[in-house]
Amino acid sequence: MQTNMIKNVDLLHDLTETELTFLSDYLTKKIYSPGEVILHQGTSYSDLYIIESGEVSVSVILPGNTTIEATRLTSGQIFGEVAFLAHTLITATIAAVGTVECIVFYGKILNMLRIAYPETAYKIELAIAKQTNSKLTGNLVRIKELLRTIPVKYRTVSQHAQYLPDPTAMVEEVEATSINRELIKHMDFFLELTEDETTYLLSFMSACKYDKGYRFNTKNAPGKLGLICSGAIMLFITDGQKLLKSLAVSGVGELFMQNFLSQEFGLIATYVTCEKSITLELTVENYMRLRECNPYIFYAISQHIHGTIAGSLYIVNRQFVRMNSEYKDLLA
Amino acid sequence: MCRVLIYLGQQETPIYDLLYGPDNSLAHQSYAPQLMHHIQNLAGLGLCAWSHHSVNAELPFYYKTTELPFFDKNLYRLSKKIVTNCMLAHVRGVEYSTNETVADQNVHPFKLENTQIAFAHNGNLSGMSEMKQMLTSRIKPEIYSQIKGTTDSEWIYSLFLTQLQDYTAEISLDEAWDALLKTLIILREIREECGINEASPVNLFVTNGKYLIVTRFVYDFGCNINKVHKAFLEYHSLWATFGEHYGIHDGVYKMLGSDKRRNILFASEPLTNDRTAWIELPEYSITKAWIENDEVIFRTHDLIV
Repeated sequence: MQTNMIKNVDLLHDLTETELTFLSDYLTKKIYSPGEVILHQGTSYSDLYIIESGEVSVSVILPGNTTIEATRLTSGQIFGEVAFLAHTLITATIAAVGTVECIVFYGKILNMLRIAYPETAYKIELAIAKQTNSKLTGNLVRIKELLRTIPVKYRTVSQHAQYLPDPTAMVEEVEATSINRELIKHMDFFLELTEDETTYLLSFMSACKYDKGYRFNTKNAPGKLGLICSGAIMLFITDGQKLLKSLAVSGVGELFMQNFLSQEFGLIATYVTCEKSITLELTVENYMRLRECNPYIFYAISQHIHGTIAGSLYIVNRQFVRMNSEYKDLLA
Repeated sequence: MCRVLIYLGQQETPIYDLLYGPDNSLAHQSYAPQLMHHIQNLAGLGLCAWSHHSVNAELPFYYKTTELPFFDKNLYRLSKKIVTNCMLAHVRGVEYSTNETVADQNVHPFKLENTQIAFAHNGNLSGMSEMKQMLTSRIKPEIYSQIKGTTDSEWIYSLFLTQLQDYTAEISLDEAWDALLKTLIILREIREECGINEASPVNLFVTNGKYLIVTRFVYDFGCNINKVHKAFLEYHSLWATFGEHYGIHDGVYKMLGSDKRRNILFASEPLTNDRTAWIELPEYSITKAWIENDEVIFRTHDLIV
């Protein structure tokens, strides 16, 4: 594939000329006929599609085998990114509206880059994660709108929103080294790292112990990620200071991110501990410092972070479908 | 870990289409579950299946066996002849331990002869032996005397029946709902009194053939820090699908049609490899489903106890 064909692709903007030239040998161009299904919902793919020209329809199959068109994507937009990074099942069916030309970025090429050229892989993953993050925020707004659409008489009060946050709940900093090392060794986040590398990474992290019901202040807060070592954290959609509805729960070994890629997230969502919890935390500042001090560890954990961001979109999308289905009889 | 399914509908469905037919049917899940890391040690299968067209329609076809469903030729043959508009079926999975008792009385669902309510549980209550003494005083004597098995689940069922005004009478959905919430609150209190804070999943399934209630809940989720092998315990899965007609469409079992929602099906795992038309229920939730104006309605609520 010609380098000039891909250098205008938004996703690859941060790549150098050399990186683009190298990558162009591994990207494939595919042409789809009108109506042709490119990806089937519910199946597993691990490839990323960049639309070069044409338009695709994104449709979702709901229980009852009903299909609804969720959106359309055009030139420059991508699809398949969640499965590409998070290895989840495809959440929508993608079909060509007219003739569509796509650049296909195979998942196995990303894996190769991660080993041979981690900096290049990182740049691509980061660009995808940023796009995914904006979609995530957009979908949170859509869920908020859906909640508003439900007639008041059917609107059930969110028990979690009402009773879970406890203003007296406290947070206490504890030694990161006090966390059970055997537990840490089994976490996906540290899986690629040796014992020494894990110790080194832990020196960049802090640990916190939270009471149940602790509400994180995500609005305009500095970016950081948390890794749950004990307990669980609940994600809430918010309306100003008000908690509207819980959307997902993260448990031991899972990451939760606060304003990690942008401040947008904190304006519409926040977290509350739904059990007494202990977390390991890494600020964006320390994460970037790690890039200078030990790029290998930085790239290893970045893969995991970007995969989690993509996976969050999958979780939020599924919740949107569930709520939409539950209230179909009312919304119709 | 167990595997459970519960169906409620206007359509009388052969129980074969739930137990054996689909590519990830309950029988299939019993030996090759897709959403579990390891295969469970099987300890029996049970089901309560109601049919409007059966003799004594308020009584379910109630079947329990410690045999494994894929070896049970009798059930396999019967399943093609018995139809149901509401069924609760459960495959029991136990730990590989001499502490476990494989016996008929431990097979779910539980249903006392003198009540219409059937009950099943996917999960386990940690510290049950410590809890039993306190639970004894919270269960009505006539219900306590009917506990026959060794499972924590049967105790939860007994505690639940105790919360009902008269468990032998017709129980409304609202009363069953309140009783289930009270049950979960009492269990929480007893756990606290006993100092138990190990994660304990309680996915509960309740039905009387006319409505159903399911929970997806874990007490002290994620609180297993000192037991690394248990620390990563995930929420027990629970999925749902609904539609106008359930059966084979294009070679795959699925719910078809959304104009009128006539049937709903909940299961630990989607009954088909293709999970497209299934949705996952949220964690810390309780869901009820009932039939109103010929349609199935379901509502999911947050569960805090």
